[in-house]
Amino acid sequence: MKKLIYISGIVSANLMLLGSIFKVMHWPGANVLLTLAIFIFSFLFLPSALVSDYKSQEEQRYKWLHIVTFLVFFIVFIGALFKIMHWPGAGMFLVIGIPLPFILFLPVYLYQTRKDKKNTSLNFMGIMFGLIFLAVFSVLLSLNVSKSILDTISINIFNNKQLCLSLNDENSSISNDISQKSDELFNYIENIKNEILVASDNKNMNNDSCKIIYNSDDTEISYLILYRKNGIGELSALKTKIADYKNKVLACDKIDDMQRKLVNSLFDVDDNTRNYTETWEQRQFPSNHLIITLDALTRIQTNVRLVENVLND
Amino acid sequence: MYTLNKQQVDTIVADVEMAKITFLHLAEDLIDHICCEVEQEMNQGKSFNEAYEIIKQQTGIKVLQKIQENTRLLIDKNYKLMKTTMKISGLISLAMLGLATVFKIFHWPGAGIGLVLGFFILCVLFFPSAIYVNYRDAKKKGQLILHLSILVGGIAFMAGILFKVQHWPGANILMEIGFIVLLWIFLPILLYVKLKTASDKKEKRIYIIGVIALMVFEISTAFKMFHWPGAFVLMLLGSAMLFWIFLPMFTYRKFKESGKITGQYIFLITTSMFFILFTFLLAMNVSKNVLVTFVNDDSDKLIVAQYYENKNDKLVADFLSQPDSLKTNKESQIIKIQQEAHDLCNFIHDIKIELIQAVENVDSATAIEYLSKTFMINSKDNNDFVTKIMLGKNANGLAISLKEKTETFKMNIHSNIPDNQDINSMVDKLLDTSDKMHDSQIRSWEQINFYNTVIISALQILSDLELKVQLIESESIKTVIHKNI
Repeated sequence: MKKLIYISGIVSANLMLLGSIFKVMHWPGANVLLTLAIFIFSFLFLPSALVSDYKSQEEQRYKWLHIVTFLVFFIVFIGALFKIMHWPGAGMFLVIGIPLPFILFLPVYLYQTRKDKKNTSLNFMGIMFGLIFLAVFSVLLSLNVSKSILDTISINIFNNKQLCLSLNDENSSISNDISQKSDELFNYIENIKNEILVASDNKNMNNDSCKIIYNSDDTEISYLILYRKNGIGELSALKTKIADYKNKVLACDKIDDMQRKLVNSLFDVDDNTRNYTETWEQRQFPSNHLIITLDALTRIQTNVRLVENVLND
Repeated sequence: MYTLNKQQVDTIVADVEMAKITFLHLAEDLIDHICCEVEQEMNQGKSFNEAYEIIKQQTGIKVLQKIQENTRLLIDKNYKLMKTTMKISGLISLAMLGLATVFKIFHWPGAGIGLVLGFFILCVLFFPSAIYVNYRDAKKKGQLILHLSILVGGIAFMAGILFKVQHWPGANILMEIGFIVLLWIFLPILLYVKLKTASDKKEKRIYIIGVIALMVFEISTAFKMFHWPGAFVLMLLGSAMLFWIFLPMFTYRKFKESGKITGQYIFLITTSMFFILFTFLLAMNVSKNVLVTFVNDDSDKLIVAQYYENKNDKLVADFLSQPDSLKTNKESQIIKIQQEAHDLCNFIHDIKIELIQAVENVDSATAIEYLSKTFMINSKDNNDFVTKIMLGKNANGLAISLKEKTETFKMNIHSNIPDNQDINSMVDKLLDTSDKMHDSQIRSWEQINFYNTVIISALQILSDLELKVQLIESESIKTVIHKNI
């Protein structure tokens, strides 16, 4: 029986590791492995190990500590399973499960072992550091969103590109100073985009599919090109160009108040104004993920085409 | 007067050592005291064994430890204070962190304060007092650096995470310091101390494997943080060593030693499970900052849509104020286009308000306020309600009606302006609601746009549609007005 408990402990930890690796690598079978790991842990290892530990004491002490330990970690791990599998009710499990180790297990542990001087200090350290680890990682997790969200941004880019294409057809018949300036800025941004796409091995960006790139979570390439290229990066040059474009458009004599307001709010390159606490770069490029950068650049292109269309009426 | 011989004294010394009396000269004092007591009993005619039994019953191992504890408390009020501080601050800070996490996940107010306070108490009160207490308990030479290193490394790391969470500058430097100290000072010293106390070669081997595996794992985390290649391979290597070699070996040894399940083992397995769970869950996530890009897209779309709406109204108003002779039969046509675009935009508007109300649980006035200020939405990453409202259970969600209405609008523009190819192809392109290849399978328009989409993205998609409808309205009205003039 004791051997079985030992083995089940190791097996569940290893299944968990395998399941997680499978999950990260998007290999099939990850969910089965994870479910199995958590089931073995919560239904076999945890109860039997705690019972065995309780019974093997010389005096039967810490009854409540054992019961509470089981309840707390049972709820936490089953909650994690629900969350991983996207089963309904995960939210409720999380509300109860995340604070439970700290507001139920820890006080009971401290209370029950308050008079026990043997080895307490060492065990206490172990448990505290384990719980700190748990707390820190829960905090980190709560600040994140699933990576799959990056893929939905490709819909934005797709929509924006369609709009750009239609507006370009619309605008192509007219050629004047504004369209020339707009084309310049548009092509400049298009070049940055191409450079990023080539550097990231995504040369077939211009197809019709909604899903455009495969390494949308890469953060290196855009960082290099936007902030580090030739020492200053593309972004500061782009910012100057946008400011120039804005001034040119605003200086145009046929522009009316409504259009002026539109141009001012679309190409607001100011840093730390009363409206914002961040710089233009921080506002427009909230992270260096490849797809976010492409989205931001495409958005500026779309805005350029929209302004061109508006002014050429 | 009876005097104990060397062998008898050694028995007592061994027993006192068993009690792990490490505090200064207390062990010697205690041995001296016990020897005197035993001699006194033996003077009354008892044998050594009888006399020692009696004394042992009076002063068992526990009593000896109690004496040590009491002596320590008497001598050292600091120690007592530290121990109480450690327990209370640990409890409070961890409870705060746990609750703050839940608050953060559910976007309730007050999460930030809880996090900062929790981390602060952890760094400033718990960590130093815990290390101090542990150091005093161990009281062995050479462990000062061990304790100092984990104090510095731990605090730097904790503070780094707090700074990162709160977006304060300097987070990375703090985390780097924490990493370096833990990796290159704490772990090697830990290994050294463990090797010194290890009883045989096998145990030494287990400790070496364990520490090396931990170091490999830590290095992989550092690689990931600094975006160096190979992080994933190192992480696999580290975790494989930890869970496929160290854990079974360590467990086997513990099992052979005690033959029973210890609390230590349960703790080890539980912590390992958490460790894997969190490490890999984190690897699958990105920072919430990325959601800002949706907010930006949405606000730009809304600005332009607003412009077109005003412009269209002005265009129509100007046209209608013209004398009747110029309007001819275009009046009804223009009003019809305007009316249809208006209806579709209102429908989109209503969908947005319904989504915001469902997600944020606010009244419609607040929802309307959020419409133009999407950054104020708390649960930007909610996707349950979007899927439920937009797709519904049996394909009866709002996205299906939206698709139908968009199609109808498209048809109406076609029939209103049958002779202009430019407009018609633009309408087809912009309002394309056909099925598409997505993730290597054909999926419908509503599936692509709204299945498991987070609300901030859904709002942005709807704003995009709104802008396109207004752009088409503008172009169509212009075409109708300028026709045949």
